[in-house]
Amino acid sequence: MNIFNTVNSAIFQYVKTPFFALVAIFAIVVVLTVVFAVREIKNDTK
Amino acid sequence: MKIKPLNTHNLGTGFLYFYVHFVTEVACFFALFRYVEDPPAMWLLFFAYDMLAFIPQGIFGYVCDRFKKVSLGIAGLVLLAAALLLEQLGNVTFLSMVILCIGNAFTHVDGAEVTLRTSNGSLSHSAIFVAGGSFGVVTGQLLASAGAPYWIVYFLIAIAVPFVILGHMYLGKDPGEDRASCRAFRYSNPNVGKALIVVLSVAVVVVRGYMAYGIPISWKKTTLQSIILFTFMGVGKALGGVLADVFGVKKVALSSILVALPFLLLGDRHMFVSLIGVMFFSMTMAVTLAVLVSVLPNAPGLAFGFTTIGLFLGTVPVFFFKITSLAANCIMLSVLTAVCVVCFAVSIRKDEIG
Repeated sequence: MNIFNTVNSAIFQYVKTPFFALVAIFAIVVVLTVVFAVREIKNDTK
Repeated sequence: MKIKPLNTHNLGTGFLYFYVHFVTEVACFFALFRYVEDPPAMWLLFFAYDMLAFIPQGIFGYVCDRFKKVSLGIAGLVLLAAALLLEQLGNVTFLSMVILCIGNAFTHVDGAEVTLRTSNGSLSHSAIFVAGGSFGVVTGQLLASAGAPYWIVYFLIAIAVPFVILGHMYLGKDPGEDRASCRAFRYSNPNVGKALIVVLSVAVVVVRGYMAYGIPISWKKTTLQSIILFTFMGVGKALGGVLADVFGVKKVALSSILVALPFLLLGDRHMFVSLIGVMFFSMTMAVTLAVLVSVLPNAPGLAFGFTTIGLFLGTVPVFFFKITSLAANCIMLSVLTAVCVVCFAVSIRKDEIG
């Protein structure tokens, strides 16, 4: 957990944005990308 | 062994976007090396840059796939210039970096869309486009470390504008033409589920993204050696697509991975041995993209986005820990090569050539 605390505080220091919030947003973007791909594959199979 | 003649139709898009990709990386690495100079902040900056620039490309690509009239190329170049201007005039690093990353993502997605939609199933177009990045990375770093003025980068970006306009002229007026071009990508194994092929292809990108940082290159000490290394990387990326078109995708994918390994393992102290390995290692870039487009023919932008997400995921461990022992590194390279061979063997269709 130490490494994340270090990164988190470092991000606060340099970019003033919470590290975990940023990671969460990008995790959602990845999930959305996967959802779109699944939809495309399903549409293509029909 | 039979060979297929190279499809040079619309190959111009590859060269046009080679330059656009080159300029994109020049602008990004010039800015990144200007933002901060101390190593801890650099580490963080590159992590945030990779995340911001690589992850949203799938979504941006999907928007372009759905709304064919949306063209992100020019917008991307404008954003790159705006980011540099913000940094130069306002010294607002965070905002500048966010804009820089979005600009980077836009030009990448546009390049992928145009080269894939005009290639009629050939890998050369997108491979040549992808190769431009390696030359841009090293040029951007050199310009920044030499303290080059900003106007040089603005000038390079301005030259890229007509390249994007010209590139878009290659796109067919009939949307059906573009669709047929992507449908010509038939390199995925038809006996394997499409979802599994996406997973395996992304796994290859992740593994190779990580491997790229583990390649033993203790010979690289001077600036000239860095330039040579990035040159071989770029040449390898382009050559991978060209050779795959001529000799067959599966043959080139598997042989390049296997041939690269001994050169990489033995090249720690021998520059030319290592460079041959790096060149072969870089050849698979276009192959993974082509396999992904084969299963997502209606969404080439989304397919491209998967490769960039994979690349980001592959680099994540590098930010947190690094293997320092040469022996452990070599074992890791060998094991990961085996993983890539299995993934490629399962996901790529048998070559129709030869």
